[in-house]
Parts: sequence; structure tokens; C-alpha cells
Amino acid sequence: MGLERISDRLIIALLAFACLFFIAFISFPIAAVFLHLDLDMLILQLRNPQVLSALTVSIVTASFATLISFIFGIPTAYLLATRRFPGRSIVDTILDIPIVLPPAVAGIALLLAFAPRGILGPTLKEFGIILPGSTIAVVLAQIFVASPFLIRSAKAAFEDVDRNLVNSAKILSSSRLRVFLTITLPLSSHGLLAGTIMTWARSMGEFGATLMFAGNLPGVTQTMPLAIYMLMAEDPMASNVLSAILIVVSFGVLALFKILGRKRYGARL
Amino acid sequence: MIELKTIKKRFSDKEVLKNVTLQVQKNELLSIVGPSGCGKTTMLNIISGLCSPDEGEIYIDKILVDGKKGRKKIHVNPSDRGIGYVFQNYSLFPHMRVDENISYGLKAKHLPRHEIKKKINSLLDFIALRDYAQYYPHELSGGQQQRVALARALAIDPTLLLLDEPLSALDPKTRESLRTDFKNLLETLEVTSIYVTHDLAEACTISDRIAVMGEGVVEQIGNRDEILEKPNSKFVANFLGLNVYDGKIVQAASGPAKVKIGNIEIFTTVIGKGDGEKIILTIKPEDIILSTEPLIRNPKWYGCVCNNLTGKVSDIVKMKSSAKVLVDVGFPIESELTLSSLKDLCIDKGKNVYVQFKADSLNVSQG
Repeated sequence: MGLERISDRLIIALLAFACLFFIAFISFPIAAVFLHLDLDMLILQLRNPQVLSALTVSIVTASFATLISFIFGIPTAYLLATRRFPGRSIVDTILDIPIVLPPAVAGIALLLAFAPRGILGPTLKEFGIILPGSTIAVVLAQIFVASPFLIRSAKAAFEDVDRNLVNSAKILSSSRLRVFLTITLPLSSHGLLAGTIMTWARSMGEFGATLMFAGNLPGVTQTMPLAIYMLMAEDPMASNVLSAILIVVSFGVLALFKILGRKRYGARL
Repeated sequence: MIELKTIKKRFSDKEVLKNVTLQVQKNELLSIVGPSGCGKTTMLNIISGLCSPDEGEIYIDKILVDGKKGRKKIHVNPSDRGIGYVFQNYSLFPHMRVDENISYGLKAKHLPRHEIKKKINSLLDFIALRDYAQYYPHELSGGQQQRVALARALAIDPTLLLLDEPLSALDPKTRESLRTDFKNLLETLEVTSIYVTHDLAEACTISDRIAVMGEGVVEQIGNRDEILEKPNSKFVANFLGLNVYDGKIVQAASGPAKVKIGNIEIFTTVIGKGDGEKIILTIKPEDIILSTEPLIRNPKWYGCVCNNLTGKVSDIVKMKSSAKVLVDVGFPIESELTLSSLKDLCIDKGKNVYVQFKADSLNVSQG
């Protein structure tokens, strides 16, 4: 009995240690960014047009990438979660590829597909569309890299909705859209929200694919991570300030979504 | 009236329903009982239209809702069948209040608001939960949730009410009290209902007729007494918890006939059977009398032929108020006694006992 209690305590202590290790490992570098922060420099950098434009490009492109991922990702996730069809597992695997693909490889792949010398490049050029070096390319790179997070999360959320609830609704209502909007969607909202947050956050932090495919043009394709990288050599303090801004913005959005998600319904779901 | 004609359903390599044919009369309450996995829920899902049968036809009030009309395949949508469905785990929408749950089907029919409100109130009165309209499902007890589920199913004035083990998720005490409540509620409704349960006692309390299902087929259908007194197959007898034996007629007679179970000869009353014919014998555990002393003929059984056997108690399973005693008399026979009888008779595992049962307690069917 005594031995069991000791081993229980030991296990709890080990679990707590593992948890504390990660808290420290994640918090310490983030805290380091803020500890090196100079307030005057922060104010100065917030007025810096290059910083402001990088922040704007990041927020705008990440938001568009998330929106487009949402519009196409939700029906895709719903299809995968609710229907069995030949080749479903292949579709599932293809959609997961960007998660395991190194971002630089994603950038090369996008270039080979859409750049003027790529497969679709000449066709796009005929319509006057040259993607590399454009803000659209940033959005495409972010969608490529981040949308699987939304699809995976939404798929799991749809799969988690009790089939009997959906069946109850189907018996009571002839409109599939109504069943989806009134039952499936609200009951999977937490998962959808989590997926949306992850997609937005991943888009905000996207670096490799954006650099390879869209380039690094201030005001057009230069996002915050690219600006941080560029400034690191020239002005480490400015790079530090940008990192702090990016942390605050990302953390703020994460907190906002979490609060919204919690207050969504009066009921325990 | 509901009619199922030769319904077949297969899920991958398992045939879940094999040629199920069934009729439920108007305003009748039919219970379907059977062990888990015998196809009860699949049958309800097919009737409701949530899944389609591979073969066969379903008629609701003589209208074909599933099947073939000429070359055309008919499958009427679940919401167009006029069905109310109460699911096993309540399946109340957790993000909606009680009144919103009840009105879900009514809103789909685009009824005027005042009519919806009137209907909600009358249903809340019916289930005696008027004060709970603004509650969320998780704020209600299991029994209350089940009543809300019933109200939601009834809100659309269904032609047919399907209930899939509606009380099985409740604790035994609530379940027992709700069983009577449910019976009373269903009796006042005058709606054709199919009630699925694996609990025979529940089926006996609630329904007019009982269908016993086993491995995708309806084994027997009849009223309570027909099922309990005259099980027509080994499966039904086993499901009812009876003693079931393969026997052979040794000597047929107009009165009691001599039958062999293994090497043991007993008497039973069989009509229209000949010598050497194979039969299935069943007997209820409660019809078997045990004693540690030699049994004298029960005076109430005057005029009946008794079977007197001896054997050794091989097992005793005690339950809440009774005990099942397994005796080896050359074949295993199970007797059910009250716990007080068990104590009074001093029956213990390993003891030799006398076993007595009437010849006409044995039910005989074709082997």
C-alpha cells in the first residue's frame, strides 16, 4: 500500500516535471524577447513604415489565407468526415502532405507549378497573371502550408458530432442545410474555431514557402517573419521588436478566439 | 398500419436482417426484444428511412416508403415519413433548450409561432415538465431528458413512433418507475408504436404484442402469454431463460408420453407425435421444485403425471430476491427459488436434491 502511494507520487512528480519542462522551454525564449525589449525602440519601430507594412501584409494575407482555407476546407472536411467513397484515404493523405513537407520544398513545388517557367505559369501569363513577387503568391503559399490544419481539425470536429443527433434532426427536418447549420455546425464549432486559429497562426508565421515562392518585396510580399529575418543582420534590436509585436498579435488573437469559443453557448457541449 | 415485407440488409460481410416480415396494426404497440446485435436498431433505422434496405418493401399506412415500384426504386426521406424517433441515449440537442428541442420539428414545418408555442406548452404539460422549458438538457435528470425526447418525437404528430431502448440508459430504479410512466403515456397517445428493448420484462409491461428477434430474423411474434408459454424455437426459449432440451419420443401415448433426454426418461404431454420423433422440450425454471427430502406428490397436482428425478447441485447463482440453482440430473436443469426457500430447504452446492416437475409443465415443439 505504502509502496503504491510512493510510486503514485513519483509518477505525478514525473508528469509535473515533464509539464514544467515544456512550460519553461516555451516561456523562456518568449520571455527573452520581451526582456531584451527597449521601450523607446518599440515606439520608434511602430512608426517605421517598413515594419507597419510587413505587419499589414502579414495580417491581411494570413486573414485571406484563413478565409479561403475556411471556405474550401469546411466542405472538404465535411465530405471526408461524413461520406465513404473510393479513394477517400488517398484524398485524406494528399491533404495532409503539406503538414509533413518542409516549407522550402513547398516553395519550390509552388514555383514549379505556378511560376512563369512552371507548369501553369505560361497559361497564367496569358491572362496577365504572374504570381511570384505578388501578394497573391504570399496568400497561396500560406494556404498551401496552413490549410491542412483547418481541414484536419474540422474533420475531427465533424466526426465527433454524435450521429444520433444528426439522425434525430434528419427525421424532424427535410432540409439538409438546416440540419447542418443548426446541429452539425454549432456542435462542431469548437473544433472549427481551433482549426481556424491554427491556420491563421500558421499563416502568420509562414516563412520558407513564402520566401521561395513570393519573394521578399517590402510592402508587397514581405511578411513579418521575412522582415524579422532581414532585420536580424542589419538591426537586431528592430528584429527583436518585430518579434515581440508578432508574439503580442498572435497571442491576442489566440486569446480572443478562445474567449469567443467559450462564450458561444450557455450549454455544456 | 406498418408493414415490412421480406426486408434484407447487409453491412459489409454481415447479413444484419434476413427476410424480416412484420406487421404492426394501427395504434398497436409492438415490442421488439432480442439480444444485442440481433438487428433491432437496424430495423428501426430502416423503417425510419435513416438507412435503406437492400431488398424488401416497407409500407406506412399502405403507402410504399421503401422498395420498388415497377423499375423505380422508392426511398421516402426520413422527415417525410411522419415518424417520431426516440433514441437510446436521448439524443437531445445539447445546445438547445428544452422548448427549442421540442419545437425543432415544428419549425421545419413552418408553422405559425403561436401554434408552435401552444404545441410546446401542451407537450410540456403532457410530460409534466412545464417549468423546465428554459433548461438545457444537461441540467435535467436522465428520466426528464427521456421525457423531453418523447415530447420532441410527438411534436410532429407522428403516424408511427419508434422507440429504441428508451429506458436503457437509466439507473434501474428510475427505469422501473419510468416504465409505468411510459406505458401510461403511450396508452393515452393512440399512435402506432414500435418499442425496441433487450429487456423482456419491459416488453411485457409496455406492449400489446412482442416480437422476439435473433440474428436478423423475427423468431416469434405474439402476445405476452403466447411468447412466454409457447416459445416456438430453441432461440426464443433460451432468450426467455428457459431450460431447453433436445428429446426423442420413446413411447407416444394419448396421455403422457415417455421421452428421452440423453439417457434419462421423463414424461410429457405431446399430441400428434409418433415414436422416435425428435422434439424440443422447454420448461420454466420456476416450474421445477427442489427438495433435500424425498418429495411427496403435490396435492394441487392431483391428476397430473409428475417427473421425479434426483441429482447434484452443481451451481447456485443468487440474485436480488431469487436464486438460480443448477442441478445435474443426467442433464443440467435450472430451478428458480426465492432466497428464503433456498435457505429453508438448506440447498447448497454439491448436495444431492430431489427434483420434481409436472409432465404438462414441459412445452414441446418440433425438433
